[in-house]
Amino acid sequence: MRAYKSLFKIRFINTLQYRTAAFAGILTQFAFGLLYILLFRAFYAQGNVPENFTIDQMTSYIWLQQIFFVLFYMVDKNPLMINQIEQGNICYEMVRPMNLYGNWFCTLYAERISKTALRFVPVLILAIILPGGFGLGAPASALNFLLFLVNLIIGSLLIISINIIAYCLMFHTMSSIGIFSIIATLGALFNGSMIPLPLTPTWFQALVNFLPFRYVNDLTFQTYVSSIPLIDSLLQTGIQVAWLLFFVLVGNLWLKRNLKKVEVQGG
Amino acid sequence: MIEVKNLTKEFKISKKQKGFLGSVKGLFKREHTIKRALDNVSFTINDGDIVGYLGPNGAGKSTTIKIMCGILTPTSGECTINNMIPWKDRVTFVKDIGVVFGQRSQLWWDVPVIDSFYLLKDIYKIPEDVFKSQLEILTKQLDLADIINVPLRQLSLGQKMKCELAGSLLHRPKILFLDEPTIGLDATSKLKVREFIKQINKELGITVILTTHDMNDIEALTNKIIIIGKGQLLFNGSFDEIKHKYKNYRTIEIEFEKEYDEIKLDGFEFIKKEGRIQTFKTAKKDFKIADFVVELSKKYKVIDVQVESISLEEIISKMFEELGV
Repeated sequence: MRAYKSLFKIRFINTLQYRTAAFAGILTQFAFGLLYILLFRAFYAQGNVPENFTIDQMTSYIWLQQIFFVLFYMVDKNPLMINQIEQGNICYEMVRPMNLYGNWFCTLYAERISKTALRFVPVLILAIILPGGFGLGAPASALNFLLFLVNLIIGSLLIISINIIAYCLMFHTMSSIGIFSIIATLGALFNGSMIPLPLTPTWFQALVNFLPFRYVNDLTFQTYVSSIPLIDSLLQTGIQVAWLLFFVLVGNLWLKRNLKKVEVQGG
Repeated sequence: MIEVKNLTKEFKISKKQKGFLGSVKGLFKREHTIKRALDNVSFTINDGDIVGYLGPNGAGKSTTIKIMCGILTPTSGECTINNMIPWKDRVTFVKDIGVVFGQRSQLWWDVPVIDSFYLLKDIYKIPEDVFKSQLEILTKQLDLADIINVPLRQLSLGQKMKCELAGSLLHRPKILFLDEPTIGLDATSKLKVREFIKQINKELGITVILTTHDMNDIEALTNKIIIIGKGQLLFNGSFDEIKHKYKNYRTIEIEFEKEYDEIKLDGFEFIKKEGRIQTFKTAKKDFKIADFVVELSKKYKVIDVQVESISLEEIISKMFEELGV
């Protein structure tokens, strides 16, 4: 466990160095948040108000999306890991007495948490102080907030476990380009990053319930704004945990199988 | 003790066809060729040996090392190291080995070297006191004090190699694998690295297996060499054995008083002529320089004769030639 802790620490501290990128990120997130809210407000103004998703809920949903953008974005292209697979540096990972899955999970998680830590507070503050119904509202209830925190943590682990599946696929394609683009697009569509899921047609909402993507972030945000009943949120948290376990198990087995068959040619 | 028996490794390589049409065809049907990187290789290495593993580019050196490190699974054959099978007991096995691949880096690129070392300490579960003393020894022997706090990416190639070596030895491995450890290093760094390898072998009894293209590495370090070519074992024995076998190979450079045409000498092979200087090669067993000069002076006016033994580099390339690789 100590090794994972150290690895987490070293990656966390290292990512904190990139302050300019974080600052640019903060501005982007703030601008995008405002734009999205203005856009969807226009639909609401036309009288198309959906049931169970008021304008205030929508506004909070969008802000949460922007605040936790780096925690939940679909693909995390880690140059170190891509290099390990494409260039064969995985050699060195294999001569260490350490589980590679744990090693990767730790690295990816540390970098995400680090990036989030740098950005989420400024965006959060900006979102709270915005006046005139444009800002982030309070959680629906204390219970909603508690469950939101649980969903947030499980969701952040779930996205890492999905990312590792992408890296496992990379062993077969030897290129990072295609896989990551596909996952990024499908993910953004099915997890509500493009259009908040409560604003999508009923059949679509039914469909995404069967896919893993919305359990990464949409569930978390809907729990906060209480656009689904608390009891449903609780039940879906169970599904969220099941997806996490599923992807961790599949990732572990797949990586193990890949390592058995891995070929590293040349000096 | 390392025992390798009938080790064979095959790679599947997909063939790319030429041109645009070929590429389109390749989308639907891939052709594969099987490349045999290792073919029935067997050898034994004893504890405390320094073994040089030689062969031309693409002979299968790195493949063997990677199998012995547990990275690759062989197609067939056996390999037992300290009673373990590397690729089966990988996680347990790698605790006892250190590995340096000259062209790759095991330390973290963007953090100070010392941070990488501390991370390795936790990964290998090295006790605090062992780590401290080992770090102190390595810092001293490799002269690392000034560079240990600098991020790896800012170090020169020679400094990097020294750090890599230190990193591979922190956990006091019993076996050290070095894949081209002196590649790209300048003369001074090479000497330092060699000296260090010798020292750890002697003082700590670490078995060292190294591949290199630098014959001086071999000459300075190893007591045993294994040569492979085209995936097959060609030679396995002591360095002296090879030297002895080729000790009669000599190059002779003769400077005459005036320019002669190509001279024909019995048992000597003419190599080249540059003005008054002519060069020959011989493998004569009973070559005696004094007799040779006397004999030569009877016919020609000789100013100077220089005799050189064949260099190791030439020996190895001669062996490759004879063995047909």
